Order: sequence, then structure tokens, then C-alpha cells
Amino acid sequence: MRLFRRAFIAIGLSLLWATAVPTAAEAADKEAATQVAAADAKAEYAANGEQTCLKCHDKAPATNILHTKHAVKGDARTPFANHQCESCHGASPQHTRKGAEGEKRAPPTVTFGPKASTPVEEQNKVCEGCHENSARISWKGSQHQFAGVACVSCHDLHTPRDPVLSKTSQPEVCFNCHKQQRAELHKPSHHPVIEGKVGCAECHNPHGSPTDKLLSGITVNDTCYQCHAEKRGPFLWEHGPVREDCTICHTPHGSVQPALLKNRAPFLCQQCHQIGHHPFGARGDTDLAGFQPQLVGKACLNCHQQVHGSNHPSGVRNMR
Amino acid sequence: MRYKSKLAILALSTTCLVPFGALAADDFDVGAAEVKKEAPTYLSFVEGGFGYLTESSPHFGRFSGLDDKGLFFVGNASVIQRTDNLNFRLDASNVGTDARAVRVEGGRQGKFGAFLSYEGIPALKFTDTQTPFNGTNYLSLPTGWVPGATAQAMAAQVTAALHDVTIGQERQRYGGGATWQISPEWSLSGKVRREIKEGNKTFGLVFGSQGGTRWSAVVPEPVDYVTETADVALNYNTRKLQVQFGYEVSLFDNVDPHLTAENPFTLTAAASGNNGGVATVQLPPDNSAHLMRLAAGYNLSDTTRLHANFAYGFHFQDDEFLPYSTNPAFVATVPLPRDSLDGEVRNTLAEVGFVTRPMTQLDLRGSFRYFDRDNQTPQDLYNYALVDAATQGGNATAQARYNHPYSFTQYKAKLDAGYRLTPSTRLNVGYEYEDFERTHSEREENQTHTGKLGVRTRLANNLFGSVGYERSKRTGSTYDGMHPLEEGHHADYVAAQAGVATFGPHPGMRKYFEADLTRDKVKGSLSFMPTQAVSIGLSGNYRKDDYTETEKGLTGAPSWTATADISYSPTNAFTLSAFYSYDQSKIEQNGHHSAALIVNPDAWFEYDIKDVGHTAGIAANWDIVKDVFKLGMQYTYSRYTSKMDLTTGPATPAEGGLPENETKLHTVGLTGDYSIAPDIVLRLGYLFQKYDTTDWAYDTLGATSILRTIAMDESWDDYNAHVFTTAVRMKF
Repeated sequence: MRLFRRAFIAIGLSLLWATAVPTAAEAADKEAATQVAAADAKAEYAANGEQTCLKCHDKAPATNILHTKHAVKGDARTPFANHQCESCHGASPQHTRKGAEGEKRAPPTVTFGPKASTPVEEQNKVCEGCHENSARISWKGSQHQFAGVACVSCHDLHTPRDPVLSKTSQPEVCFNCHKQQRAELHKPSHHPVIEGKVGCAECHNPHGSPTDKLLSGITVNDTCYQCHAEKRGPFLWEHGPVREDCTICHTPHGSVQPALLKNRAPFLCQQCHQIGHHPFGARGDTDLAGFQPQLVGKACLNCHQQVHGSNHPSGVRNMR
Repeated sequence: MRYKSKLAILALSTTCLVPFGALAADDFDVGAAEVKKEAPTYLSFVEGGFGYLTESSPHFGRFSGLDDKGLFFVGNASVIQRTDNLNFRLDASNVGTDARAVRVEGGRQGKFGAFLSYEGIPALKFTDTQTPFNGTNYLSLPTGWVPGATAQAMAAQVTAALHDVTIGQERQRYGGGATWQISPEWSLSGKVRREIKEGNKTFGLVFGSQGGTRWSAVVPEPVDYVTETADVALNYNTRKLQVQFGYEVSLFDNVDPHLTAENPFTLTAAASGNNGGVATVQLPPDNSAHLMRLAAGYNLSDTTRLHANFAYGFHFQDDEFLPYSTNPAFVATVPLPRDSLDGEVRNTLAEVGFVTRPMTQLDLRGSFRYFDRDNQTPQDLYNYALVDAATQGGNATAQARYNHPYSFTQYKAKLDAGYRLTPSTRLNVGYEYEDFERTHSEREENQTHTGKLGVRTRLANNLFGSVGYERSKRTGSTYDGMHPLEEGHHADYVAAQAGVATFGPHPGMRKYFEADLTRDKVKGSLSFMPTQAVSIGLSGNYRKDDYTETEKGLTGAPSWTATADISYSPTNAFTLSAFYSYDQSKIEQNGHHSAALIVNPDAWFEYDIKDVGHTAGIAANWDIVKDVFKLGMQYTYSRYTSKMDLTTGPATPAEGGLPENETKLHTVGLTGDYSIAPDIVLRLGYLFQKYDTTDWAYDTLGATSILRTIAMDESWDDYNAHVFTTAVRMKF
């Protein structure tokens, strides 16, 4: 606890320092903001809005933006209700202006994507300008934000159907970075994620969460109970690790073993239970040949089925 | 990586495993993505057709609902209508199968919106596993059943009574919700969901117990659950401050709360159980959960943000108890301490954090999390009856037990720093500390320190790399293996067990989730784009868990994964992508053979379990004639093995390792889209899957192979399934 208090104090002091002391970066940012505001005031937005852009950008995927939520002019919050393309790409007179023949046209003020010249922080600022809301309260400081993931790394804006928003195509967007999870989700025992019946975002909140693994629930177990409410209890006879964290026994993305288990019974059970008054012990080929109930079939669960807890007054041994 | 390359990988990994989805559903890029200046833009489509599956297989169709040989209907649709005032969207997929999904939404963007949804989620397992029992929540034996001393003694009778039973469940989810933008700052949203989950799974049901000997049967357990959830949130958003207050409720109802089965055995006189009667078990009880949430984020400045998450909730469970025993001869000498549990758990979460950039090159973030599971469930002494016996235990027996309402508290603090050493290189350093306190356990406290170090860099314009290392060390309070037993039994029994070596676990046992642990993690990645058309990615992870103080139990668990990805897109019309992953995890655990030998140091054994996986895939998409004819091809291969090796001590009875379990899956998918007209596409598809598996736990197991257990076969079936589909897509 002493160390914990120290850590807490250290964080508190860091926070105090970070927030109370005006920094050079903050001053620079303020200056930049002032410059941006000034630039905005005299910004030379294209007089004809998106029509200016469509003179050149007349093919998909650029034109697909016109069929998205962002292009609904009836909603005053959208980019197209304001400066259209330049709401996101910034006022770009240097880009829209026709240059001398043979002269390379300057890029828009803000460009998006992995090869964009605009830094990720600046790209994200454009999105955060509208989308930093109650659905993304924990985005800043989240694993993805802190790792420099751009909004457009996952989201495709120039399509009426953003793949990451569909359960069937969402996993592949996540797999672009999460290769290990892709491999695990192909294992014999897995949640139906690659089959399109469970989306990554049903368990995870990629925009930030009060949990380590960006879970959608407040704990691992609360996340699991969203679909497995029968295991919530509370039960009369609880199994300690089950209440603590489902991932003590299960690996949620996939397993070679049945039921998404890290290991199968009896070996998994024997990692904690080698007690007296019970025929425990080494289980191997001789027991297999003899069809010992502690090994074959459901193994320990041939008898001790209620491993998630029992509400039977005689269920202390998980048999009722 | 080009966008189309990403889509190719996307198609490869998902569609190959969505048997008919690969052929018909959800490639939403078609239409809009091919728009030309002068060409009409198609935002919507409706698709209909037929498919044919050549082989029935519950495993092939376990999540798709496509498990029966024969014809099926292919139906998908996606309709988007959007004006500046109103919007409407309908998505429907796989309407011809049990995996169908439909969602309709509409509203006025920026003002209000609503949706309705339905989704079927099959989770089929077996259609040909067998049992002699009949019924659902009351399992009866065939008329004239003659109980036997063992399953093997009744082999002929059991075999004659066996009949097929389907094991698996299906969820039907009905949802709805609405949002209302009250003002630019305030909004209200709510959603409800009702899920019906029906089917069955298997249950190992014990009918008799004598010492370590059990008489049991694996039987079908009915699953008939209804879960209703509602979630409402009030939101306040400004540029500086964002707040959300929410309330969630979840109500779980088990329509079949008990399972009763007739006892097929004749128990010995010394055995506990209901000889000649029935055994009754409690299935998951009804329960409810409530959670209030408050989340807030505040931008102190352009470079500093604070956020906080608070939640407080309850879990309730108060289903009426069954009696100690359903044996008619049972007479309770000690009554139940209560009629129901009155179970209540209070969950509290407080999480606060900050992120700041105090210098141009430096990012900092920190957070503190507090979570408390406060189990308020009453604790009582239960003098239980062992597996529906006629008698219950007295206080001086092992059958007088106190329930353990587990509570725990977690404190966790984290601090991370990211420093840009150069414009293209970032150094990350982090530290975490966790204190975990729990009740009714061998170890009441754990402390974990974790340090992290990583570098992410652009080595060249077309070469990115990252490496990271993390070490965590977990220790804790004194490990007292006897504590839960001593606390869980009546004092009279504990006193009687004084000095009995077999009361309690081996003194060297350490439960792994409480044990001292040193964990090392290394990860790295390289991303290389030698040309505009080629992209290569390599990544790897290594993790080693070392349970430093554990003599018996899990002692080590090293694992590693390596992945390679490549994509090639010479033109917009052709993409080729491939990937390969290798993963390996090992489990090293020690044990001690038999309670009677607990004091014999030579009665040891060691398990070494090694799981290995290979997953590979290749996909290609080719627009042979632009907007007219395109082809797609995918192939994936996966092979997983699991092998257990056993080493035994001189005093341990001779046992060897187990055969290797293996699962292999080949999937081939071919698709062809031919535009008959600009708005009509003929779609043809073929999918082949070949699945082979071995599992020593079931492969030679018959219903009466185990002496005193009537078993059910729960092994997956091998299959070679071919699916042919043809469909017409109308675009508009």
C-alpha cells in the first residue's frame, strides 16, 4: 500500500505540474491557435464550396463523401453544413488555385492517412473538433490515442458504409494491427468474430475505457456478463477466481482447447486443486486407456459441472 | 498499404470463414466505390438467390446456421436513403438462414433517430451425440429401465436406449433504441434489448458418491434464458466539458431453473445418493444487475485533458433454494438457514486520468483506478446432503460448510511517458502498480509492479519499426493454503482434522492467479514498403510467465507468436495479399500424486503441455473488366496441435503422455461478379471447407466406456463441405 500511495502521489504531482505550470508547448500551441483563428477569420474558403473540389475530385472514393452523414447539410453540425470539404481539409486556397503550367499543385492544408504530411495529432484534432463528446470521453489518454493511432487509421470517411462500423467487416480493420488476435480468432474454439456475429466493439471500446484492455464493461467479468448473464450470480457457492476475472481460466480470443479455456480439464483444474480427500494425481496414457473419468470426456466436469458457481444448498462441491 | 489491399486481407480472413457470407453478403464497397463522374451512383442493393450445401455438418454451420445439406435461400440487402432532412437505412443479411440479421434505422440527423434490430446467433455443436435420457428439464429413462451398478454393467441396456440429441444454442436478439438531440449541448439516448437463448448443452450430473468414487451421467441440460437489458444516457457536450450520466439494467430469467434426472444406477449401500430415485440440480438462477455511470472529460487547455469515470451498481440474486436433497427419505435435522440467498454484490468504480503535453517532445498520461466488489451476501452454515443423499452432515463432518461471499478491491495506478527523440523516433516509458485485495482466499493481497520500455521509429521513408519490453513482478501477502478450508468448515471439523496431512492442499501448491509471478514480454514489428505496390509486415510477441515460488501447480507459461503479412497491388484492378502466423504456448505444471502419498517427496509429476498453431491465408481480387467482371479467390489453412508430455517421480504410478490432438481446416472460396447491366450483377460463388480433428478425450469414448459414468460424445465431426451459390444483386 505504501508503494501504491507513492505512485498515486507521483501521479498527482505530475498532474499538478502538468496543469498548473504554463509550458513552452502550451504557449506555442496558444500562439498557433491564435494564428489559426486569425487565419480562419481571413481564410480563403472556396467560394463554391464542394463544387470547387468536385471539379477535379470527381470520382470515387472522393465523391463518396457526398453520400455520408458528413454531407448532410440539414444538420448544422456537419462539415458540409459549414465549409464542406474544407471543414476537414482546411481552407486551401493554395490547393484550389490554378498554378502555372507544369507547376505541382500544393496539397490541401490538412491531409489524412498514413502517408499524409499532416501529423497524426493534427489530423485527429480535426475529428475531435466535433467528435470529442460523451462517447469518446476517455479517447485522449487511451492506448490507441497515446500510441499515435489516427482516427482515419480505422475509419473510412469517404464511403457511405464505414467498414469499421459493421460487425462483419470490423474485425479486419482491427486485424490490420492486432495480428495475434487474428491468429487466435482462427483457433478451433473462438467467439464468432470472424464469422461476423460478434464485433470487436461489443467487448472493446476502441475510443477509451476505464479498463486496461479497452473493455466495454467496467471489468472483464461485467463485459462477459453482457452476453453470459447466467454466470453473473451472485451464487451461494462461488468459485473465487471465476468471480475475480473470467480470463484466469479463459482466453477470450481463441484457444486450441475447448470452451476458450487456457488449458483443458483436468490439467487446468490441477493448477489450483490438488487437495486431499480426492483421487487427484498424474493423468496420462494409462488413465486414457482405462477411461478414467478424471481424464476423458468432460474430465473433472463429468462430476463437478458447476464450476461457475452453484446456488444449490448442497452445491459446495460444484456437483449440484 | 493501399486501401484495396486492406480490403483484400479483410476479405481473406472474414469471408473464408463465413461460408455463404463470402459469396453474397456485405461487400459494401461494390457500387459506390466504382462511381464515375458520369455514371449513376448506386448506394443500395437488394440481393436474392439460392445456394446448395453438399454435406450436413453442425460444425460447419455452427455460427452460420447452415448445417443441413440442401438448398438455402441467399438474401441480403442494404438500402440507404438520405436527404438533408431525413435519413433511412435498412441492412439485412443472411435472411435465408438462422444467422439472419435485420436492422432498420431512421430519423432526422442532428435532431432525433431510432432503430429496430433483430439478429439470430446460432451456436450449434452436435446433432448426433447420444443419450439414453428423454425429456428436457425432467430427464426420464426408458420404461422398464433396470438400474445397474455401473455404466459398463448396463452397457447393452444403455446402448439400446441411445438416441440422437442436438447440443447447441441459438440466440434471438431483438433491439431498439432512440436518440434525441435536445439542444446543441444536451442529448438523450436509450436502447433496449431482449435476448432469448434456447437450446441445450451438456451437464455432468452425479447420482452417487462414495469417497472418491462417483456415479454420474453426462446429460443434456436445457438452456431457456431470457435476458432483457436497457441502457439510457444523458449527455452534455461542449468543447471544454463532456459529461455522460447513464443507467443500465440487466434482468436474467432462467425459464428452466432446475434439472432433474432419474438415477440409472444402483448405488452401493455405503454411497450417498438417491438410490432408485432422482437427482436434482440447480441451473443458473434468475438475477439482475443495475449500474449507474458518470463519466466526464475536461480540457484544461489545448495540451491537457482530465477524465473521470465513476460507476456504482448492484448484482442481485434471490431465487428460492431447492431443499438440501430431493430424496423422499431425506429428513432435515438441521434446516436450511434461509429460503433464498438474498445475494447482493455492490460494485464501485472510480477511475481518473490525465493526458498532457508539457513539452513539445513529451507526452504524459496517468490514471488511477479503484474497483471494489463488495459482496453483501449473508454468510451461513449449510449442513448439506451429498448428491441427494437421505442424510445431511453434522457440524463435525466435512458437510458443514460456510459459504464464501467473495469480495475484492483493486487499486491501480499507471504513468506513461512518450518522448520524441527525433521527429521520427518516439521513446515510450511506463510504470504500473496494482494492489489487489481479496477475501476468503489463500492470499489476501497481491502487489504487482510493471515497467515498460518501447521505441517506435521510422528507419527510412518506407520502413517503420517498433520494439517493446515489459516486465512485471507480482508478490503478495503470506500464502496460507489452509485458510479457505479452515474458514469454510465448522470449527468442530477443523479441530478433528488437526494433524491430518491429507486435509488441505499440498503445502507447495500455489494457485497461479495468486502466486508470485515474474512476467517478461517482448514485442516487435517491422513494416516495409519497398515499392508503391508492395507492402510487407512482420511482427512478433514473446511472453514468459515464471511462477517463481510455486512448487506445485502452474510453474511456467512461455508463449510466442510470429506473423508475416504481404500485399501486392500492381494496379487498382488487382490485389494480392497473404499472411502467415505461428503461435506456440507452453504450460509447465507440477503435481503430487495421490493424497495418501502427500508426504512422499518421490510422488511427483510434471506436465508439459505445448499448443502450436499455424494459420495462413492468401487472397486475390481482380477486376478483369472494369465495372463488368471481377473475380475473387481466397484460401486459408490452419493447423493446431496440442500435446501433453508427462514425467513422473519414482513413487508415482507409471503414466505417460497423451496423444497429440490436431485440428486442420482448409477453406477455399471463389467468387465471380458479372454485371449484366449497370444496375444488375450476377454473383456466383463456391466455397469448400475441409475439417479434420482428433481429440483423445472423446475419439474412442463410448457411452459406457467409463466405468461409472454414462458419457456423451462431444467431439467435433470431420467434414468436407461444398457450397455453391448464385444470386442476383439489384443496385439502385
